[in-house]
Amino acid sequence: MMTVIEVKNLIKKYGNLKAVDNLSFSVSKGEIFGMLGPNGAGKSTTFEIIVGILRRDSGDVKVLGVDPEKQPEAVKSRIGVQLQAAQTFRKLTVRETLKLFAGFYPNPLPVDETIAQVDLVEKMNSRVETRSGGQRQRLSVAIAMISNGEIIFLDEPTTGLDPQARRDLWGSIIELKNLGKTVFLTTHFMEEAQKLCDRVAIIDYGKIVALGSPQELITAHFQEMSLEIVQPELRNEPKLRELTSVTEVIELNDLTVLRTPNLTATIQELSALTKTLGIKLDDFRIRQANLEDVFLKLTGRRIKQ
Amino acid sequence: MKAFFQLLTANMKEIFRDRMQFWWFILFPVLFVTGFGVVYSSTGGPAGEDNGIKFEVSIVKEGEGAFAAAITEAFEGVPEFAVQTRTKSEALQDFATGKSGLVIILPAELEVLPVAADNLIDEDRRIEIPVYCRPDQFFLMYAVNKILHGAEKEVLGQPSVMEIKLNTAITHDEGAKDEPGNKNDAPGAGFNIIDYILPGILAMTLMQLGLFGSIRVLALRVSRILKLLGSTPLPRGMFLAGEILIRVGMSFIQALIVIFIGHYGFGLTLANNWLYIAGWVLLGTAAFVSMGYMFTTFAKTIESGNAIMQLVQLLMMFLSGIFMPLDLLPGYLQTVMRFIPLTYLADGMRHAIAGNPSLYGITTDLAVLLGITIFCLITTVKRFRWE
Repeated sequence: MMTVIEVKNLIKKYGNLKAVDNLSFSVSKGEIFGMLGPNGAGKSTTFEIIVGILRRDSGDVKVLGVDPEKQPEAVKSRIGVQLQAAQTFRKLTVRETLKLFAGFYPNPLPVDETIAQVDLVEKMNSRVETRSGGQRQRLSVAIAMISNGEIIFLDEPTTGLDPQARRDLWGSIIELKNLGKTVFLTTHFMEEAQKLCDRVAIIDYGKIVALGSPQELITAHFQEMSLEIVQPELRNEPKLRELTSVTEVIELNDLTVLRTPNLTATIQELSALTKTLGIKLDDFRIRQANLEDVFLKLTGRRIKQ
Repeated sequence: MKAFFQLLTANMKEIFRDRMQFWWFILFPVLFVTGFGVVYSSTGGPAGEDNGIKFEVSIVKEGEGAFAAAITEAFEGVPEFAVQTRTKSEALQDFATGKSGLVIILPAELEVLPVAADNLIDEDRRIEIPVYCRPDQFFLMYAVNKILHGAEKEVLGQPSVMEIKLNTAITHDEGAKDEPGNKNDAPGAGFNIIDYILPGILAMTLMQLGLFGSIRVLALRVSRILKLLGSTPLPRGMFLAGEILIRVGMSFIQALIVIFIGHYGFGLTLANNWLYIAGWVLLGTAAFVSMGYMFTTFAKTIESGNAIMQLVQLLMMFLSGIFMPLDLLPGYLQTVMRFIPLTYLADGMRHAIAGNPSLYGITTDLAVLLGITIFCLITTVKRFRWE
């Protein structure tokens, strides 16, 4: 597999704070690579260093074999970028905006084709300022796509989208992969990383805490199932920790999570416990571990609080 | 190149599709030039028109000769002046009691000077012309200055040995040299306060356009559009070049509005060709656009940027002498004015448009404006951040 992005021992400090703390990873051609982590974990900083708009303090970065800090133009003409929270010219129409950005690249996609891809055909002649947050978000993803770059960089591409629009955009991103493009994205949506990414780097406080395909990460950290109790009566109940089949009890803000390799035994034990406590067990759910659980297990916190 | 023009078009659409901004851009110079035109033409009045207002001028001749005659004649040629020739003691007494607002004393030694065609004038010699002017008539000093130097030029055929002393002995800049071809300096052409005020107003609009126009770059930075553009292969300099080009275009439009209304509405004198005027507009734009960009590098938000610009423009507006000739203000204010960039643009504009003699010398004006442009550009380039 050809490596298109290579990051080695990357460090970026803001004052005393290490926003990016010795990151190393590489991305192969044609894969969808995701950085998953909470806000402020260092995802965007890493992202901006890789696309050549932010200087690093130390470490090596190569994009398509070129150092983006030393030869930014050589990199920028071969990639497409969507930036988090970046607006576009308010008074231009959707179509004018894409035409403008298409003009910056040597070999752009046709404007109308890109508009269709992000489902903005009906809105293409209205001004950006009149469009909803979701539509603007799709426009900014379209700006990355129209570059026809070899790597498409998306920083939190689905933030602000409703669930349907989010799924539609996932479709467009998978299509990019089918066209042979590499996609590098950041997200704090566990589901997005799990459904979309071939490989995920879970990042926290500027460090990679786990790296691999979503399934690899889940099976590496969990042979267990999660049983989530929503009932407030059982919150912080010490006897939960005495259940023999439960390996771990995690108290979160609004629920209690029991980890178990043997779900049947746990449910039996739990129902016996609630009987002795005089509580009716009626509000719980069973869930297979996901990337959120991996993050929780590795950091003790949830991605989205 | 194609990308550059696309960016230029996009930028223009962005600016002119904003109705508020567009109308402000057009209305601002219109309001200012009309407002000041109306106010000042009712006090000073356009040249050669008798609008009924008379200012008493007492001329004291300590000697008789070509000089005193030319000067008296020049003053008499201005309809707004009621000229009286008097003795020094009479005139000064009336001035002291407030009866007379303007006294000009022509010393006897003035007539001892060799007359035209004799080139043996001692260049280092300076003759003081004491002028007493009541503060409420300070604006007349502009005319006095022009007439005295005009008469001098007519009699001597070459520049300045006169030094006008206003009350507290304010020295007139020796660098002030009359440019050839400024027909307006001839004595008797009268004075037109409009010629003083309106070029200053144009200088002020150029300053405002430069300072406040640069807020746009700040807005683009805050909304991260600059950063987004920075992630594309578009060279960054190309973006700035486009911004500056648009500002220059806007400056020319505003200059046209001011000059057109000033000339046809209020009798603003047009003493030079368009190209020469355009050159000065360009220089003024360059100085203040780069100054605006420099200030934006010190601001983090649009609000703080606006605050900086407001402060700078207010200071410059009132300390630059665009509303009143420099000679007429107290000494310490004159010193302050010398450090205000707008002072020099206004001076240059008065010279370029109305053909007024420059107060500081054209070379000084040019040097200051060029210096500001270069200094601000270098500072901007060093400090500029795309995000």
